[in-house]
Amino acid sequence: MKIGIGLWCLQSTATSPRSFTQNYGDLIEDSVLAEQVGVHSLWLSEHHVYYDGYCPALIPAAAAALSATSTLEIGTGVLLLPLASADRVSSAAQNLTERFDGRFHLGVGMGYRPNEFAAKGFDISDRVKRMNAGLDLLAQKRPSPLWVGVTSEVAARRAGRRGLGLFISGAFSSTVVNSLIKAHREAWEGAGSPGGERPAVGLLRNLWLADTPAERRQALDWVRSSYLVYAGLGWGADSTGVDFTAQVEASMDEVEASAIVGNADEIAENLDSYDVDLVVCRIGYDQPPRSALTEVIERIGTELVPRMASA
Amino acid sequence: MRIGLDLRKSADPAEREALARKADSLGVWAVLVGGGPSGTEVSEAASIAIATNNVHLAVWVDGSSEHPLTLAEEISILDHLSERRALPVIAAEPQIITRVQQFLDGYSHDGFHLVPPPAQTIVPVWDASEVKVLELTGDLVKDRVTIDTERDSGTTHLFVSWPGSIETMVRHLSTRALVNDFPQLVADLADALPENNWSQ
Repeated sequence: MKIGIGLWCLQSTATSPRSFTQNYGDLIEDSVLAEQVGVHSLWLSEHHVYYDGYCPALIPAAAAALSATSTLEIGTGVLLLPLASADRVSSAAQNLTERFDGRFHLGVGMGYRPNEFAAKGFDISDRVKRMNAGLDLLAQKRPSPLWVGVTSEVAARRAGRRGLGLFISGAFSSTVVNSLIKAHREAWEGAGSPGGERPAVGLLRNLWLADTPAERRQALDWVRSSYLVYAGLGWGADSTGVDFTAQVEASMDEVEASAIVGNADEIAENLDSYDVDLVVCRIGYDQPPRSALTEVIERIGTELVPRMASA
Repeated sequence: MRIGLDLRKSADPAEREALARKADSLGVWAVLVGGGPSGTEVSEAASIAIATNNVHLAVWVDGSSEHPLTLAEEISILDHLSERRALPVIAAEPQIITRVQQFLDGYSHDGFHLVPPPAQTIVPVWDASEVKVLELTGDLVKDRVTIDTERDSGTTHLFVSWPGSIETMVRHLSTRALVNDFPQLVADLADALPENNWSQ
């Protein structure tokens, strides 16, 4: 099992205001550190026209992080495909693949925020149609390793039958995660196993390496508060127990329940229970001080990666 | 007049990056990249931003195949990555270029603003059809005349492709572009100085 880190959103939130320029400088430093300590990959995330500057252009940010490193893989987790020209995205991904020896991963998602579609001149009711057309183009061109972020079994099947990888949110319980994986694999097999090799599954998990009870409580509070951004964005997902539009506290409880906070052995034991190829440790919260973030990157690389290498 | 180095004739991204590093180390005002497949332009500039410190990043962007907000978003992120060095050159209809500029300036369209705003207070958005780009020959006698003519005709910023060493371009052409009484003697004598062998 490969271990990556995410999600770098590069925000300046109401909770933790900061310089955008500093954020992008920190992205480069964090990428270099992650590479040094043996982390497999670093993943970026996208939104548009949101007050906190949530990164709206992942390809340039990915290019910068790839340029600053030589072995670390960089992924988008996820780029909102219906909001962009799929052709242009494919060209950009192909360009990064060629320039950086295949270290770029293109994860795409559908998006859910009406303002983002309106700002780009699209009708949100067309998003499934645009997503399907974009996935068909990417599945044909294969410009880089491809992942599809999903929040429902329907979406998981959409990825599976095209032979595309699955990228699962950090907010979901293990029950939901396993149902998405099952739907993905069944759809792939049902479509005649396109590509011949079973597409990979990546899983975001909220986690933090912490030792004392006080540190563990602090980490869980960081996890909870990090979802304030999704309350503001209005994110909810059907049938998953997570709905930040109507049930903020209940959703935060759900997120906290699935978070993995502890020492490396405890985290490794938990991660072992998932049948996935990649775990992206969601540590890119807005509240932790920089020293805490760099420490957890180091600990993931030096303590967790070796434990998961044979899993 | 300022001279920027047009790197688009090199087909190899690694070579373009190496040239940009050299230009950066020699104080060249700007490098011009882009012009490849739509969607790849700003990402190449972002790579060069990480490899350099001071040179401005003029990036030739196809503005016809994406929403102006998307273009402005990419440029804003480049501006942060480069710490205020983004210089977009947009090839598109004038109204699209204006829209990109307005987003970067902080104006809204249909109620939507660009977030994050760029790092620079004002990002200069240039219309590709108005940007002057020349191919120099490498023959300094001829190229000096070209530079003098451009400077004296009121050109303020000129991008050139240059077949020789960047050191030569900077010593003989970037310098004389700045004033109309450049002492050519200094550049010629500098060419004749012994190589600097200080080892520390």
